[in-house]
Amino acid sequence: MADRAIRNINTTTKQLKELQFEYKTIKGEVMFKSEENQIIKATEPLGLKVAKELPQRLQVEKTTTTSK
Amino acid sequence: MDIKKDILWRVYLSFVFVVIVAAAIIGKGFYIQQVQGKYWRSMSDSLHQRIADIDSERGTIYSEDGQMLSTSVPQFDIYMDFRVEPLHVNNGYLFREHIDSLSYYMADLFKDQSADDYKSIFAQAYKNNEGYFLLKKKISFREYQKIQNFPLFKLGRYKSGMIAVEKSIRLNPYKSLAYRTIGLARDNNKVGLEYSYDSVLRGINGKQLVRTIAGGVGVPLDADTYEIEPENGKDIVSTIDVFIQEVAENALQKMMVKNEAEYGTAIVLEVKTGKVKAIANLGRGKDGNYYENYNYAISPSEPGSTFKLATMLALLEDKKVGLNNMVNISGGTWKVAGQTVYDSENHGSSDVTVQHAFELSSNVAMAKMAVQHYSGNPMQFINHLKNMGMDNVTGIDLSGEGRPLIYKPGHKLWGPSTIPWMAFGYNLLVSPLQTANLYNAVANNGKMMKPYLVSAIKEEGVLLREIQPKVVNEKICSDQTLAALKACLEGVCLHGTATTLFKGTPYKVAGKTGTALIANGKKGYDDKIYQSSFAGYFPADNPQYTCIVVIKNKPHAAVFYGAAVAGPVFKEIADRLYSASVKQAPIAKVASKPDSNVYVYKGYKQDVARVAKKLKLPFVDSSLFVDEWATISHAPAAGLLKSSKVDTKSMPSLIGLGYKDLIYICESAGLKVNAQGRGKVAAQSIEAGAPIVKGQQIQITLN
Repeated sequence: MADRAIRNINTTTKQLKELQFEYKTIKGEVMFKSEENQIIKATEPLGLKVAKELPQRLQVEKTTTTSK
Repeated sequence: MDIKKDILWRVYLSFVFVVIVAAAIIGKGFYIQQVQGKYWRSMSDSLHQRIADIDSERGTIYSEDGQMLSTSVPQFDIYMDFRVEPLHVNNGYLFREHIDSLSYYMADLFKDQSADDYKSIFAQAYKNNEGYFLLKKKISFREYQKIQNFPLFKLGRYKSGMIAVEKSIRLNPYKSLAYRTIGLARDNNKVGLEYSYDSVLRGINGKQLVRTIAGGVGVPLDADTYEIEPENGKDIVSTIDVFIQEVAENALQKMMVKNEAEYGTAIVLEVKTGKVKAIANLGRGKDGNYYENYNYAISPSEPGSTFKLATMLALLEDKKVGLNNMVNISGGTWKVAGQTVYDSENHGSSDVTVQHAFELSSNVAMAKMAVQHYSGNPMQFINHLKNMGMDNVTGIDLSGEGRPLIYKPGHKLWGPSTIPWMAFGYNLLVSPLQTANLYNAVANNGKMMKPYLVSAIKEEGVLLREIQPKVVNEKICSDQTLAALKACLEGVCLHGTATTLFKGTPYKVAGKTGTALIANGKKGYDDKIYQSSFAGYFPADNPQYTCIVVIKNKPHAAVFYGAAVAGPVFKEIADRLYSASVKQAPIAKVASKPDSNVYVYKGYKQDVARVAKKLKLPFVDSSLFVDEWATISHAPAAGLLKSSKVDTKSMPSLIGLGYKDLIYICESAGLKVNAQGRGKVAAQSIEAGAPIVKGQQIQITLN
């Protein structure tokens, strides 16, 4: 019983470690690709550019007429 | 026979014999030691087992927003043991069977050698019966995963003889981003946070039993057993924000490329806490590209005009001058202590207020006022600088912070020109970070914070220690002085050297330009190398971030003014940060279209009623039947649900219908629909009431 538990622990630890590595590798790739510079490069062929203007905040004026 | 002679030759004979034997022993010893030595030593090695250190896994450095800035990933060296039994049974059947496909896959994955090359390498090593043959070094985890599924290798270590030796390397997913600050973690060379927090990140090494083979190389007896499990290092959370860092780095890089500048740095501090949100350092490499090659942000240099803030603070705090006092700036040149002070920008003014002199960045004004008020008692001025912490490092948790240099009376380089030149930022060395911290204190209502880079230490996501902001100086000056300083800094951007730069900016900036001529080794100031800087905070009425940009230009650069080189970088950073926090965006008043007041919706009556009920839209049902088409509209009375006659002989009005319904109606009337757009029907090509001809085309526009 104990032997099997130890063996299980070992394999699970190994699996966990490999999954961590895989996570880090993939996460690293995604992070690099999502960097602003990379996105600018990737979207250049689509004609997209970084917005130069500030975003606008809209505020709707309160109107008196409402549907009854 | 003489008995003596008889004895003597026997003695000689014995002596010669002994000498020969001795020589033989020494000779054999030499032969074993020197000629066969290597063979015997390696045999001895291979018979030994020893305990080797196993590196613990180094902790990860996270950014404030939880992104990995630096983490450990494995890297593998692949060895092969061609001596394993299964490779030799059946006359090496297993090896011969797989060698071709394995070579092919290896060549296909690494693309460094052809399959034939790989095959001959394998064959040669097999023939030599190599026990620890290095096949491939430094392969990534990805490649390792693939290799494990290659023919032969997938049979596992004991059958294929493939041995993977794992090493941990540091991965910076963002590559060059804040590279210098995050640092390196090579065995012999650590810099940045990797160095400052090495003891936290490192963890404790484990121990593993290895068998030593020729050359002292340790082969693990079993890859997964440890005598002592290594204890992994802790993670640290840095204050760096990836977005701000990216913005700062890109803005800086763009300008530096444009100006072919030598090096530059941009720092962004959070006003309230002193957190370093971004720290970019770029230096020009030999190939003309820019790299994070040195921590310029914490290296002292002559600050130039950005230092005038300190001079103003001293003068105002000692009540030597008021903002509205007049000062004669003599058209921009002034002789003092046998040298001439020049204003870097040609303004042609002479009598201006103290505030405007600051806004124009007049060196003459600063030098004059300092000489007038402090040449008698220089320590009074120096003490102010001390109080602002300018004579000492900021204490940021980053190794390698350079010590500032502020001369004191009595120093061998102290002279009559020291005070006037110090007043506008020469004759002293402070780092960009120190200057930024001074501006940050002004932005933070006089409270000087200690800039810091690490806000928490974590282990497996559990918080171990949180590092709180630390106040260095509760109040660097009186509130009155503070208000005056703020007015001066805002004035620079409203009617001073940075006016054009910030024209039309929707938020207020307070800042100061700096243009310093810097000495270039033996050539002195002849090379006309300027250091352009801009330090300030924004939005001025509710400061969130302090930012400093310092760029050292190339010799004889065409553009070198602080407002023209460092200023635009500052502005871009400020613009992006400002627009990113939409909370602060200006409110654009837009006249609302009373859309919900003008409406026509049409559809199957039960559907319309259900939608109206769901939306809690009050309505009055005036229709007669349950099973019919209905319209709900704003006129003649809002919420009146009335029946809408739809027959199949003349064209009904389709206005207000959805796509599905209009298709149903039109097609059951025998019309061919050509619809464009989405939403509900806004126009129809066959007018309502017109007779329907079967097979007719109808154009529908949806909006």
